[in-house]
Parts: sequence; C-alpha cells; structure tokens
Amino acid sequence: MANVADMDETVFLWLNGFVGRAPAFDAFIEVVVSDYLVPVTLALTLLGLWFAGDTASRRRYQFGVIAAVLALALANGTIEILNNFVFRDRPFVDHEVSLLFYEPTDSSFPANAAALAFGVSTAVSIFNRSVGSVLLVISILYAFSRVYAGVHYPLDVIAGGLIGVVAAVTTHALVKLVRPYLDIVLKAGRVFLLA
Amino acid sequence: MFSFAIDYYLMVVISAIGVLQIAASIGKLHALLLVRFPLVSRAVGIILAIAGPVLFFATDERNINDYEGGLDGNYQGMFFILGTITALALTIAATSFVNRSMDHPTQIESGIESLKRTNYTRGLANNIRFLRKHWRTWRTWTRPYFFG
Repeated sequence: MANVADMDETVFLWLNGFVGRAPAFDAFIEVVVSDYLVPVTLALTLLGLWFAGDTASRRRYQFGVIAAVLALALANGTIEILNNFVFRDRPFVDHEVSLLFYEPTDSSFPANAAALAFGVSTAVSIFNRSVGSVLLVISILYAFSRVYAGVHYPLDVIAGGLIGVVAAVTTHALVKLVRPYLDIVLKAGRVFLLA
Repeated sequence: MFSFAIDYYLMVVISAIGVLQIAASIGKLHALLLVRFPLVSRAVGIILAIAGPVLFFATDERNINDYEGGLDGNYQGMFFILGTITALALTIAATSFVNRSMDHPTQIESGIESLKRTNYTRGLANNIRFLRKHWRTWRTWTRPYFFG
C-alpha cells in the first residue's frame, strides 16, 4: 500500500515538474483546470443533446440525458459520503508544488471533478458514442490538468473517474428500470413542446 | 462574488443560446432557429458557444476559491440552471417572432417534433387549447396519453 502511495507521489512530482517549462501550455492548463470551463461544456452538451437528434433518436437521447444528470448527482453524493471517512491532504500541503490553481481545502481523494466529468461522459457514451468519445477525451484532459496543476495526485483522479463510470452505468440501468414512469414525465414535457 | 456570479451567468446564457442554435439546426427544429438557414444558424451557434467562455476567461482571473469570491458547486448549479432557462426563454421569444409565419396544425403527441413545422407560441397555444377542450373528458383522453 505504501508502495502505491509512493509511486503515486513520484508520478505526481514528475508531472508537476514540467510546470514552468512551457508558459503557453501552462496558460492553456490554467483555463482547462478551472472549475467552470469543462463542467459548463459537459452540461451544455447535455442541453444540446436534449434538442438534437432525429425523430427516431431524440427519445433515446432524452432518456440518456436524464441518466447523465442522475449520474452526476450519484457521483457527487458518493464523493460527499466518502469524504466523511477518507481525507487525504492536497499535494501542496506535503510537497513543494508549482500550483496553477487556487488552494482547495477539501479532501484530495477521490477527485470530485474527475468523478463528475467521467460520470457525464460515460453516460453520454452509452447512448451516443461519437459525442461521448469527445467528452471522454475532454474528461481525460480535465483529469490530467488537475494533476499537472498540482491540485490532485494521479490516484485521486483515477478513483474519481472510476466512481463516475460506475455511477453512469448504475444510473443507465436505473433509468431503463423506471422508463415507464419517466415516459409520463416526458409526455407532460411534450405538452409544453419541451420533450 | 456577485459580479463573478453575473459573469458566470452571462457566459452560460450566451453559450446556451449558441448550443440551442446548433442543436436546433441538427435536429431540424426550424421553429427554434434565429436565422432561417440552418447552416447559418449553426455557424452563429458555434460562434456564440465559443464567445461565452472566451469573454468569461479573457476578462478576469477565474481560478478563485469560493470563499475568496468564486462560486461553490451549489451556486454554480443554480446559476447554470438560471442561465439555461434564460437562454431558452430568450430563444423561444426571439424565434417565435422571427418565425411568426410558421403555422401548421400540430398534434399534442408530437411534442418537440412540432417545432419542425410550427413556431413555439402557436404550438403551445394549440396544445393548451386542446387540453382545455378535452379537460372535462380527461379520463377518456388524458389517461391514455399519460399512462397508456
């Protein structure tokens, strides 16, 4: 176990050691790592998918968007619960770090940002592979940026990502199970031309 | 925090209007297009979707902790929903005016699909009129629609 933690810290220090070598790349990462760009991009993609698609696929997309929103909530809830039992200091607490982000005070493990990003992108991948693949690439970049910027250890984002993937698969199965009830809600939305 | 929240809200509104234009042009929902030509609408949508984040990040430092003026997760979610609702309302208002000549009888079951042929306000009025007409016989009509 100590070996895994050591390796985790070694990989983190190696990656973070590149900060400052390419200012243009650092500036790019400072935007990617932000709390706003990737989350808003993912959420707006869900909004777009709700309205996009042809007659045949629209209904499938809308059920998928509902599954993705539920995955977001489930991943976030899981992290909130885990944070009551597990607390890991942020890398900048124990190491000399080149920080490209502010200093968060919550637990480093597991990474909430990675959980939410992978939760949404996996949920989208289940019903639309092409859009889902793009979102997965964005999520990987987001997770990488969190480590590179000195906010998380690699294991934090891997664990967060796994929680997101499991949340997405779970909510996809759940939505299938309660589909008749969701259909009633969508029919109500159809009256207002919103579903 | 207030000005930061306003900036975030404006970014969401601008980008969401753009995303709605892109989605409406892909889904052939002509009644939601700000410009009658789908490809032009899509181009306008892409520009707006990119303009929102560019304006947000270019105007100030955005990597700020929530207790130092940034937004925590709950406020982010709240302002995102508000921004999306605003964008949807603005799009519906503008496109109902731009596409006021679009008028085609629709069926309540069609939902969003109606927006391929009729503008939003006419479609909504049509559905509400239909519901009011059949309200007294809701058991015979509404039940099969919702639960059938």
